[in-house]
Amino acid sequence: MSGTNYVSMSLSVEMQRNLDSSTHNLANSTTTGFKASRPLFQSYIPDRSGLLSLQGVAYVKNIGTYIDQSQGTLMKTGSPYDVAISGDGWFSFAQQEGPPGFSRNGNLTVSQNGNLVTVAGYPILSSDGNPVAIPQENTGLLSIGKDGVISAEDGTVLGQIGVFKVPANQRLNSIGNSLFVPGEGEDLPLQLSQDAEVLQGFIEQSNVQPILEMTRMMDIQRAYERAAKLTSGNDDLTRQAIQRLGRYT
Amino acid sequence: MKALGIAATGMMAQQTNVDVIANNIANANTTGYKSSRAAFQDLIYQTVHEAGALTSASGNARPVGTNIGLGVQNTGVIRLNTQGGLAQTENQLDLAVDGHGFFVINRPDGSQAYTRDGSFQLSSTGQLVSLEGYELNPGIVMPENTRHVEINQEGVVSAFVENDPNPVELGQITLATFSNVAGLTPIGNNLLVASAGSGEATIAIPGDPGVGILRQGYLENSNVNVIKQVTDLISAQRAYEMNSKAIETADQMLSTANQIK
Repeated sequence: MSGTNYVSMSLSVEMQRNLDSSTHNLANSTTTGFKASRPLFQSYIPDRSGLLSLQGVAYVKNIGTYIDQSQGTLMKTGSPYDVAISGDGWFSFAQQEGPPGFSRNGNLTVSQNGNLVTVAGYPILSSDGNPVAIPQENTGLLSIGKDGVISAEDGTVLGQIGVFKVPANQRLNSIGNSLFVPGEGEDLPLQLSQDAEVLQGFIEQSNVQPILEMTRMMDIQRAYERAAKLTSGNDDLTRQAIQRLGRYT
Repeated sequence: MKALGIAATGMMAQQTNVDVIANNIANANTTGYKSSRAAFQDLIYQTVHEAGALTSASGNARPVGTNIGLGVQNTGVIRLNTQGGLAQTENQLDLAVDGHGFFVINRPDGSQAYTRDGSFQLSSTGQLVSLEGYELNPGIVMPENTRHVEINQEGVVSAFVENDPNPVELGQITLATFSNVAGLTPIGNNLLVASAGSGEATIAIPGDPGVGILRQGYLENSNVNVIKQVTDLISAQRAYEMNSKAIETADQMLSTANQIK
């Protein structure tokens, strides 16, 4: 196979991956606190100065995915157990194993043992990094202030939901269940965020923009067709060359 | 190409979403009904390239990994346990809880169920029962020839019998509270049962902190906000359509691949 076929193959493989990522975003267009992820591509020019046929041939190469960290729309739910962050900050959740995960999903409930947890059962961490316990007689009416302080009906302070800062250059990996964790082997100390507000009775909707994803999907499909066209065009060329050269022997 | 499977999880999630919304709308006028919402979370991610992997011998490392998500899952249906509006019925056996407690009902198999529906009736033996005929726990029996029943905010039931000007105290209505109200399992007929997620019921007297008070002659409306449900229904339908479009795109791309040769 000639270099042309490999170029179109590299394009079609990456476009499939691109479609997978776009579809994942669309599937999560109603997932609370979801952050869209996008693949990054770059051209890859092999260093083969000796081979004339491959000079200047640029393959498509996927170099990674990044997370779109823009704020999703805040939707009012009215439920006292729904919290959302406005501004720069993350909720932190204890995991059974490994370091705490980060999420913008504040869809909370009280667990059987009285801790404030997500619907998937991850305990939310207070500003000092411990799970937040809610005494049973206070489960009814909680009020959560903009600083994350939880108080009972009679004004007793029960704890403070922590809103933590994740540095802009910090690598975050999605691990599902709306959680993000720092890259493997990296330590991310819990550091309180100063410019974020906690809003009770709101949840942050997914930041997926459906129109953007739909147009991306159209682009991907056309690029894929282009790659297929390139392969079949190249095939035609080879066939014609064989036929014509064959005629003169 | 994983897009077909990913979009399928998206469509299934929206189906669940529409089911939950339809149930809310259907119960918009059900006494004591609490609106629910389907909660979604993203599925696991497949790591194609690990972040931090070396890209050259000189020690350059990949700044970001390639993580392709595999779709969406439904993690639960959350009941919105806010107070429904109280509607005056002037029926002396209608009760509404203004607060967070639940009435305790004895089911025929001897177990307990919990409800916010306080539209009680009398059985043939004068027992206070729910509309299905299940007895209220603790039981209250009305004497014959009761003129009028008075149930105060603390749940004390007293009856005025025949021509006696002094009321007879019949009993005390208690309410149940739970550490995790959202963990109660709905079983239909406006009843909920305790589960491992909700924890055991704590029985308290109306008026205790965090329990709420009783209002005689009122019923609690459902807390379904119909306008919100309809707008949610619209976005669920559109999200479903978008996922089906993604399936269509993946299908067309595969067909393109088939046509190369």
